[in-house]
Amino acid sequence: MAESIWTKMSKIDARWLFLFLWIVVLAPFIVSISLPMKISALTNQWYNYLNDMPDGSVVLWSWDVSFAGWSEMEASGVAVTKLLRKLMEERDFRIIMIGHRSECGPLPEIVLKDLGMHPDQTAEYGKKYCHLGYMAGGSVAMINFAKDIRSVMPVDWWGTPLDDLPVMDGINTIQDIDLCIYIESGGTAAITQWVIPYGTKLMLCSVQGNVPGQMPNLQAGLIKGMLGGLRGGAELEKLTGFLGVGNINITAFSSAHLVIMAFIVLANITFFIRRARREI
Amino acid sequence: MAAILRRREIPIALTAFFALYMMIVYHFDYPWFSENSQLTKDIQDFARILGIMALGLGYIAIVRLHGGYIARRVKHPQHWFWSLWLLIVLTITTIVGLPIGNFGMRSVQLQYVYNSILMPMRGAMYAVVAFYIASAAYRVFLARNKEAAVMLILASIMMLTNAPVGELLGEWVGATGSWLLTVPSMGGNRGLRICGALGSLVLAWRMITGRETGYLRGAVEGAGE
Repeated sequence: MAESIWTKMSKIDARWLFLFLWIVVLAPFIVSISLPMKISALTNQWYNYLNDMPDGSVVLWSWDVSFAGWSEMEASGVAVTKLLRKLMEERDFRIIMIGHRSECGPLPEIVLKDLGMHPDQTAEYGKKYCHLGYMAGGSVAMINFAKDIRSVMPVDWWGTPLDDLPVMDGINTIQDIDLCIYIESGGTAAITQWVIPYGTKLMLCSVQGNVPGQMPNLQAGLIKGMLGGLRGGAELEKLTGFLGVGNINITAFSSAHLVIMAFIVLANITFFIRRARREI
Repeated sequence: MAAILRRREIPIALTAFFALYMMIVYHFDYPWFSENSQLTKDIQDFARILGIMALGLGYIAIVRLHGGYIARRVKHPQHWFWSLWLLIVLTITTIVGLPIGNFGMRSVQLQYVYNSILMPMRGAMYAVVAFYIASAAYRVFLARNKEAAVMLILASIMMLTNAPVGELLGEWVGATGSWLLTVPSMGGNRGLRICGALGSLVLAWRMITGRETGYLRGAVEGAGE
């Protein structure tokens, strides 16, 4: 007996699905489409908490994002760096960047270079901001970092001793840091190693998949704010006016979501019709 | 002597000692017995060194494994050349990363490997996952029963909440998504965390008392008897 069209649809070659998704995701990059985007309460809370920090605050900008996660977190990473630069210039913030995995030595360096903040590009490096580079050792290194920064990171990413950087004057332990902003694509040990023992204020930039898991921490006050994934980065870009890759990619992000939902609806219609016709 | 050193009681005793030590010093603050004492700092440095040694061990294991595939290429005709390519790339990356001549951590060559090869390739691999998710969504996300139907509907609402296109359908999408995130999801996550924490405690106690020996794979039981 010949297969019905519904059976054929249920067995469709996955490559047709891949092709359709690829076309739909590519289209927004060719035809410029802008969708309305409301700023969520989470992003507003994140932004307001940072803005309410007093002048002269010391911010630890912690990077723990993989190259794979960078495709989702680039919007947050760049927008937060631009916002911190603005706060540094206007309100005398001090910014200390650090990486918790091997990719987070070169990744922040790329961002600094793109923003004209690389030590090869400006003489201002080291005065109000620095990049310490990759801190090897995971949680154990974080424990030692909290007690004595220089015991774990005696030099910055380019080999300059921390004592030669004016930005590190008086910054010896985690308790000298006013706020830690942590960008991650796979969880963080900062809550157990810094927040609980030392009361460090922590704000997260998480991949979307980690947001539900971090909500209890947010409600308990262990983290003060959370930016979620590409959407959070795009919202921050819109809020701060620093439009970038987030607002470019968010339309493709939306269209991919729509396609996946369309696939689910179509598959369920097919399923119910086949079940009604007793084909399964 | 070698047989005595390979007895499983030695690593179990070491695990118990260091685990109990780190647990106890967390709660005391004597100059010689606290988190800030020199012994504790030395143990933490030791742990970091062991972690870095494990990386080296992994490197050797990869070379041995893929070298074996190449040596036995008659037995593995379909993928020995991928192993050869892996070893070539591994060697090149190692050489440009070593502090020899113009190479090293800050060298242009290593930065090129990281920024122009590794980063785009890892991003591409992550992006490929989206296509497999789409294909899986078509084949597997079916409302076969009531529970699956509820999960489908709620997952769809969350997807619409995350994507700006959902706002075109109305305010209720964002409000419902936020409620789902802050009430049922948070409650479920709290339960998961508590269960996970209790399970971790039990596992830790089993490891300290030597009942859980999965990490001792390769130890010789009863050696020397």
